[in-house]
Amino acid sequence: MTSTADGMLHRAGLGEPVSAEEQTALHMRIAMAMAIISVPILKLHDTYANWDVGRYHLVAATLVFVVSAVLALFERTSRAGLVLFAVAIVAYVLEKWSAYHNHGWLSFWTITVAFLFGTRWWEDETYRWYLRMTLGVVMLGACAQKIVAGTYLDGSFLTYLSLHGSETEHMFGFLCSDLESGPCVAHQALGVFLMLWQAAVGLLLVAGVTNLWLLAVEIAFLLGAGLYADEMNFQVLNIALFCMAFGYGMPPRLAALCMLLLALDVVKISVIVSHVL
Amino acid sequence: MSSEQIVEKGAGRARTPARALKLLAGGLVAIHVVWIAVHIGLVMNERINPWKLGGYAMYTVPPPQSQVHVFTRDGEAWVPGGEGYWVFSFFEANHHNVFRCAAPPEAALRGFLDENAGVRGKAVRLALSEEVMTREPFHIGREIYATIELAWSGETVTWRHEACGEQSEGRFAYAVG
Repeated sequence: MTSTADGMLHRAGLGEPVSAEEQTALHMRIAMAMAIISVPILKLHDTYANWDVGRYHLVAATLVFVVSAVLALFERTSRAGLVLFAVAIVAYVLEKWSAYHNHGWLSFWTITVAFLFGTRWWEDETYRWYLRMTLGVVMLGACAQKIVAGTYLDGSFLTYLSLHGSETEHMFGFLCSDLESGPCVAHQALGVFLMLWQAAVGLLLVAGVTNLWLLAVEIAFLLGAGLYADEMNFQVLNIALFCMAFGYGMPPRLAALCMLLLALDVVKISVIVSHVL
Repeated sequence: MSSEQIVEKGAGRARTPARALKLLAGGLVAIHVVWIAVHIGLVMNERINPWKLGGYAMYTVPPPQSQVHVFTRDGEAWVPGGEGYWVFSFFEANHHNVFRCAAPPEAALRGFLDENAGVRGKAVRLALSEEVMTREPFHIGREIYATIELAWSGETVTWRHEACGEQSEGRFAYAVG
């Protein structure tokens, strides 16, 4: 790379970092860009429908998400990107609040306020605390919902997915010999384990644990859940938020993997599996 | 003004937004907790679609995939009206059928009549169904959870809604021509 190009990247805040702090700052911005870009990926199919019914402001909002993801990456424009994101997601929430999916709500809670934490938001400990607490509360809330539904305590939801879910969600069907008659002990055990894991991660987040090993295991868990549910956009959003909440940011290699998974999400793994089989 | 005074004054200015941000962050987390608790209550009482409204109950029950079915009168009996009806406006104005027990807004019923000229002036029943999983015995199927009947008296539409063991009714003017 020429010295001129180096200089341009440095000025943009994207050049080869010269210190650990700068590297973390860059990784935090990459995580934010990845969290933002997962939002329009989820809305890609909606975009055609929005165009057809004349909701052009939502089509524009989807494009603004993409622009804001790019801007969030650069040191100088990061906060402007976050402001654009806030405007676009508020437009979505006002229009589609009753149909809005939980992924969208999570991005609304976590990213919309980021611009308030300054031009160097990635250095703000209060924002990291807010992300940790929000993710912890969401984890505990999701666990509480599973207890209320009772469908993980008896394993019936996993049996339902094994019968009626997407191609990838059939993967644990082999654990029960007669799915039609209801859940077996293996699905029950798996259901209880998933609930306990969610509760444990939620409690650790609320307690302020930011151990790198916990982050690595949780990322692996989220990737596995994404492959199982054939829904990578939500997992990429979660991974990116976890990376920021723990204060490590997202290394470029993980970002590249996430981009690949988002591309897979557009096609859907089930479609590929069905085509191959 | 001494340099110490300037630094102190600057630090004071910095402290105020930092404190405000901490309060904001704490407040947002508290609101989030309260909303999730409310959402759990609404789900427990089967008032809402668990997958929606930001309560994180997705993947706890099958997605309801609410559908609207149209029935017409044949003598005393209600018969399925087939599939040639538009329900887009009804669905949109009825908040995507997220509120399971709530009577539809008048705009939803008007939207249905606007989109389906053939039913104007005729008695019609709308039935809302959803995917349901029962655990004992284990069964997955589609069930009707709400009905709305429309009756006409000249250009006045009277509607009667029934869902979750509750009934409500109302009327509005609608020009058939």
